[in-house]
Amino acid sequence: MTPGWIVTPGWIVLPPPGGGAGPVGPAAGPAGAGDLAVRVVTEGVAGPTLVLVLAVAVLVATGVTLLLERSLTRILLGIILLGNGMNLLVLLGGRAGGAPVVGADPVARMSDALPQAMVLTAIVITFGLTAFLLAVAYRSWYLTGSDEVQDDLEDQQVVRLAERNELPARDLGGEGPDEDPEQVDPPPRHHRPQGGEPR
Amino acid sequence: MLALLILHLVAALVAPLLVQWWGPRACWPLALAPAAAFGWAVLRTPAVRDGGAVVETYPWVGQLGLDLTFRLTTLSWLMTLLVGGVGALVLVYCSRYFAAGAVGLARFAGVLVAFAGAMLGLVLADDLLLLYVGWELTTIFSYLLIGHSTERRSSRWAAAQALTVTTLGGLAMLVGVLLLGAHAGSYRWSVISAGPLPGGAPLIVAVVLILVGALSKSAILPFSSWLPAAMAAPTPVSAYLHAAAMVKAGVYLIGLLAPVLATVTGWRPVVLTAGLATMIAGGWAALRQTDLKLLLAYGTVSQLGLLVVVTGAGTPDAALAATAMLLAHAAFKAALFLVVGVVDHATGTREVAELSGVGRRAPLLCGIAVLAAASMAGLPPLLGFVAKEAIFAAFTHQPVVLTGLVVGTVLTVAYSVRFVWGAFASKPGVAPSEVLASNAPMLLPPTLLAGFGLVAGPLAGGLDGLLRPYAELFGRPGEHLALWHGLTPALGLSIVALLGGGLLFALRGPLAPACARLRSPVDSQRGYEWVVRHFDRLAIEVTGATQRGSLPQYLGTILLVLVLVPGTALLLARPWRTRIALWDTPLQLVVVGVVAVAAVLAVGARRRLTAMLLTGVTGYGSAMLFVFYGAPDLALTQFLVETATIAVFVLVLRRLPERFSARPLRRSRWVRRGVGVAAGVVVAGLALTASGARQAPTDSLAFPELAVTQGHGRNVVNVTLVDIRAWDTMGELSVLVVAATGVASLVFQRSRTGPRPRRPQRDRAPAGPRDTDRSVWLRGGATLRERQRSIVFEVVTRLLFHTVVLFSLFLLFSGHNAPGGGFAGGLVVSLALAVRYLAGGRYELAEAMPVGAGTVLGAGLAVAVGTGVVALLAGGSVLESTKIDFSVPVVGDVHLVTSLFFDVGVYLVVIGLALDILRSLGAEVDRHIEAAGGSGRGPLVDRPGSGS
Repeated sequence: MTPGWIVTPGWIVLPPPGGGAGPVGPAAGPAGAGDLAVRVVTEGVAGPTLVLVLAVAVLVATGVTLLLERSLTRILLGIILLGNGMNLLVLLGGRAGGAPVVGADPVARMSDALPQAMVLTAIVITFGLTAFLLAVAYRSWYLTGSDEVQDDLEDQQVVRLAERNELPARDLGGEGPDEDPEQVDPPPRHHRPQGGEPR
Repeated sequence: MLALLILHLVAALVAPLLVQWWGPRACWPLALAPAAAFGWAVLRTPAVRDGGAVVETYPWVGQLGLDLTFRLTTLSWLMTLLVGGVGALVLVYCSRYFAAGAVGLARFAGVLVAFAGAMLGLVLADDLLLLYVGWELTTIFSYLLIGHSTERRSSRWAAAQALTVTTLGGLAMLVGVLLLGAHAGSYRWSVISAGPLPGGAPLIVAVVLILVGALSKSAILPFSSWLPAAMAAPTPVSAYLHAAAMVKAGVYLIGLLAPVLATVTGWRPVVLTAGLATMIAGGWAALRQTDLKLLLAYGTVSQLGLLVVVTGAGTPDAALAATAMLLAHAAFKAALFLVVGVVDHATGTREVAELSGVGRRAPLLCGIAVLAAASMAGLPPLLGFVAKEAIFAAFTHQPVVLTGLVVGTVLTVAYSVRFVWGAFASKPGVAPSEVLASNAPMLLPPTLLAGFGLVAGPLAGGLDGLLRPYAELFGRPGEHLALWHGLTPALGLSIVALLGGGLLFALRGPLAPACARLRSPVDSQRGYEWVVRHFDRLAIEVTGATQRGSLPQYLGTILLVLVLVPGTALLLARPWRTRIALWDTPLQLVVVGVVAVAAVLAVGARRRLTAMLLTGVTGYGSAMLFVFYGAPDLALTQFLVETATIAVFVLVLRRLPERFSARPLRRSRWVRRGVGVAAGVVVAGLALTASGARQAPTDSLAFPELAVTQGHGRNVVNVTLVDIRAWDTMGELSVLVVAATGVASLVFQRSRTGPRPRRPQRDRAPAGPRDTDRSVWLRGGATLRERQRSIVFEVVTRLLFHTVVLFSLFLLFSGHNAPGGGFAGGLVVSLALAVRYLAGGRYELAEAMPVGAGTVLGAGLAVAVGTGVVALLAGGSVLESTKIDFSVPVVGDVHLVTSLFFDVGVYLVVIGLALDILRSLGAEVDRHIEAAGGSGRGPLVDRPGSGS
């Protein structure tokens, strides 16, 4: 990679004109209406390229797989992978082109700046989230000796109650006020004013 | 009217303070608030006596068409008098009811005044939504007042029951009000009632729902059980809320709506059936109570039933009778409750079986009670008699209802006598109760209330003129309120009721078994408890079935929905483009291949470090893809973030076990992979679809031009961040600050503020040849152990640090026109700090950055917000940027864009985040390791549990 990419980053290699020696995918046959197949061409068509879509698919698939684990470290790695995939997905929403710096490229050949701004925000937020989850993982390890997410204890309690057809213990008492020995007002002698003695 | 409400609010707010100063005597000045409402209503009498109205409107929520609209008509005038008058008297009563230093009195006084204000708002509101606000406020204050004795279970239970039942009704009513407002086109009752109201199903549903609210508030069957339970409240509360004011809200609402809605299908059957049933059942239940307060409570339920019947009947005569009864009931029932409070104080009990001879020892109290009870029973010449006569007269043509009313009245007479007998009579076989003298502030309010019944009865003719405008909303009333109508059927029924009631009381002995066996439906908590219990069971079953407590399960469910719903839609519609280019450049294929392999390997990796590094490869790969795509800013940021991430990861991974624990469940692993692959395929489908789904040209087409003309910068992405979409960035900064604070609070066991771990002073530093500033490259390095130091690393760090910081400033300042900016610059500084920390240890970090992370974060946020505020003050919109051109000698012309300051804020926040991370996951974890006797920042193989 040339070190000058920061200054003039507009070297996007456009597809060779006129159907040159570019590879043709397996589904190159005529794409009928409603055909599931996608026709891969080498012409300069707008929109994302197949390799980038594949990258999104792989990153999301691996990210989700790790996300479903119980180790916080793996969950975090899953989130990072998923984040990379999603950043790419958002980026694909705008067109590719030259660097969005006015003057470096004609505006018509510039890449779309809006998704880039969004993705830039997302990258930095992912960094903050990574640090936070790492702190959670560390804390979990510090307290329990592992960074695995256990099943929620209170939820399990509820599940057990449901299996035994029981009611939760309530602050209010299950029986209502009738069974309460002290019925209505506070004991009046406590409330008797001090000036109540015979005058 | 708004002034009155504000007066109540202020009084409620200062009440706790006053109580602290003056104790219960603070209730005297507080009574001025409701008294002012009373006085104001009295002054407005001329305005409403001819059927006129006092109207006030203040704009409130314009977007909702919601104004503060108040309207005083005859009915609300009457209610204001009751709410204000009884409220003031009850507060006076409270000044002696509570002993000095009573627990919770400060809260009690404030809430009671606030309740009076809410009730006032309810009755004065013209807008139904405003009325609803007041309605629910009274519910909440009533909850707080019933639960006054917070330490007692019965009190909490009763408060929760009242809240549950009345809120349930209130919600139904809200839906009804919304339906009615949508149907009629306005929420202002004066507008609705003036215009023609189209009929139809929506109106019927609205009416029934509103009635549910009104009936639940007024404790009418089937919602009545909360009111007897609410007697757990102190007696003044019972007198005010549960006799005079709040329970009348339902009756008031019925009375307000009846002129227009009484003819709607469903109104009369509901109102008459529920009201009559409640009247009879409540009266029957009152007969068997032995607690005087409960006796009155069931009596109140019964009387509320009567009021609902009469108010909801929708005829002119009934309406006139209803207003008279409303007034009479409030006076005598409040008086009786207050009397019970006095008896309670004087004798220490409210049990009928324990009281004896009280009447002889407290004749004045007895006189008050007899007067009030006689009004309740309907004895001439009291106001209760006038009202009851008018009621019988109004229903002479409806024999079924009339019969029910007479039966109910017989019961009323019986329990009235029973009350007086139970409280004051000398009973054979019961020792005479010891009676303490009562004081004037407690006797005055019931005297006034009971005396009112005596005065108003003979003056019924004058009352008739005042209340008639309300009845005329229904048509022309044929009857008048008067003490003597001549020998009418109504008089005969009154005599029948009095005799019947007396007989019933006389036969109380023989009838006792029947009373005990035939339990009244209002007398039971069972219905409410059944509902509550089954609700709890249902909640347990539903929660137990859906919420198993497993995080992977929840996430899997969410992701499966993602796969199934959009995935199925994708398969059915196949909306994606069918022509797609393979790549922009073949290099993409190489990079994607590397990324894919690394990602797949990361899933299978058994060692944490390996998995983390492989994930890092995908990050760097993404950065490369950004370069090919034409996004240099993204690429730069991604490279920096990825590097910083790896550094942070390593800091934590040194403490975690080297390998992931082995998971034996093979099947679940394949399930996870299946879900993952499916999600990946669906998202790929979405990617293909989304790019072809654009129908309008993107907004960002204008961004390059906007960036130059408005943002004064050429780097479109950076201008987007700091100007065009600066609010998004502001949100992001807040997220970063929160994340940084979260990290610190998770790791620091003590406060992270306070003195930072600076390098030990020289006289206390370990002696050694390197113990001078001249001989070390990094000052904090001296604090590390010898074998952990790398002199080459220290030298390189020393040489590079300032260069890197300068470079970060370059990125910050040039970012407006070339790739770079606050994020990139901040990240570069973060890396420099990380290097300083790695080379010199935690003391070196404090040497490099001798300010707290919180300070940096706060400064960054303040600078960013300040930029926005300055733009606002300068007359622009928030965060709008301006170009300032000036020339500096030597340097030349300078073009300063104000959004640079915003970027400086971003820069500082990112540095603060990094600093917080390094100080938490780096320095503080170091300290943990040292405290645990570990070997410093050693290998990654610390065994679990060794540090805790």
